[in-house]
Amino acid sequence: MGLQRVVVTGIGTISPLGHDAETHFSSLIAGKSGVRYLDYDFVDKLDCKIAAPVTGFDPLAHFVKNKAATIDRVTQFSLVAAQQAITDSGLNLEQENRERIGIYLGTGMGGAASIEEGYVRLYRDNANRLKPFTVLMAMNNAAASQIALDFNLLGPNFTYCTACSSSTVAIGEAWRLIRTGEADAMLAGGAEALLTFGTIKAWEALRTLANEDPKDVSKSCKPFSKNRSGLVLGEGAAIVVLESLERAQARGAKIYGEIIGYASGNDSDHITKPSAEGQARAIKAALRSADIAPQEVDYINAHGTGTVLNDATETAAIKLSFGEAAQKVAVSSTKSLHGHLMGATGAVEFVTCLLAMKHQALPPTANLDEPDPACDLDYVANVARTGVKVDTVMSTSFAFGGTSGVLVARKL
Amino acid sequence: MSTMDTYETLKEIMLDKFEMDASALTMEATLESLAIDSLDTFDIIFAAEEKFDIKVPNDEVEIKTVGDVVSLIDRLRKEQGKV
Repeated sequence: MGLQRVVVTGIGTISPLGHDAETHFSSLIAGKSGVRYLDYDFVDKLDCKIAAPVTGFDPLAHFVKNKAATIDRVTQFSLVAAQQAITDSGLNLEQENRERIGIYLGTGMGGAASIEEGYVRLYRDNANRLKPFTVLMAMNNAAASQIALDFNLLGPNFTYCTACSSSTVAIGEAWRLIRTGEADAMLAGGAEALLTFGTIKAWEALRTLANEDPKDVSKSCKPFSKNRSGLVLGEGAAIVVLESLERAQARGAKIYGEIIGYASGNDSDHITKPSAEGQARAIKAALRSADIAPQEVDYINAHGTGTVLNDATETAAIKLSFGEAAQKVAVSSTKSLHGHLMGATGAVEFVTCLLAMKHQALPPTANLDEPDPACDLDYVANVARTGVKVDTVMSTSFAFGGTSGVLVARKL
Repeated sequence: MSTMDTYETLKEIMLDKFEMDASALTMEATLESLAIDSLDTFDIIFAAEEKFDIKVPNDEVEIKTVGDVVSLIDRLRKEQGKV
């Protein structure tokens, strides 16, 4: 069997902008921001009181009581997104060979809240024992494993933990399995729920978080703008269903697009500082994998964190890898509106790319108020573009630690 | 606290954790019949330890029915001087 063409037949998303993928995307197009003041009880102790939380999420609307109490928030998001993706794909799992269906999920910090809850009991409340489910809620592979359990998936079950590129890598690695015919269908994506006191404090200490915009906190994340001051932490999950084109067509499935290329690489430069050369290597490798020229790419959903260093570096990387085509391609950072979902961010942004093709519309980089000479590409500043040609898209993720992931998809 | 009180308190703990019909929670009901697995049992024991101020040793967690949990709690409360 030769290499299979790989398509996306289902998507599921729960993000700061909505509890499903279409709501998420239409919020982006409308320029609606998910960045806000946190209303958590520890907020007074934070220097940075803003984030992009998932709001209005009621676990009991999705799970029975004891289930909701024994899975972390990151797993709750994951299961909701997985169910959406499976439903959307129209796959009837009852009729499938489940040994050939698996789950690849990315997460940065897994069950961060459960770990922290345990430490709060031990160190603050002086308890000397922890809830029996603590390990099972906190472990990084909990979310993927619960998905596999709930949907009785018997194929490979892996959790990718490469910080901000985790879910891009998860989708790319799942792509490989479909491509080589090792799996019939794969759920792939990522999830993150790290808006806890300890985690936010740890991010504060890195001095990478955005300052609150004094006039409007919802505009605090300003990727590619001269006055950008950092990233805004977010949470959520996105999961896609991947199948071979042949299989998807045979069962008459709706197809969001074909993943035509994927590459990952490693900067090996610095644990946090991004490397333009490293990012460019990954982008070039993805273009080679897709076997396309840079000018064929209509849209890049950039990593675009909103830190001073990232956005200038990424701009340089796009120029290095795209050459002259860099001046023509539309690039946007949707993190300006949904924040940085860390281990989930690549998947949420990849879903955003798929919907950009479906709706032939480009979500903007919001809050781009001051041009920066170091950031001189077309960033779809502030206003969405509708009724434009979006046939080939690229989603880039670059991580602390150095692992990059780049996906390229095309409309069929 | 009588065995009946222990039973009632245990029932409260279980109803707080699980969506189940209170009438199914008889002394004779097996945890298996209530769809409570070994992990859930640890969770119930954890809550019971807090509530009754007892410590359940690891090798004591061999339980089949609701009544077994009640007897275990009562015995440990006596042994550990918590009555």
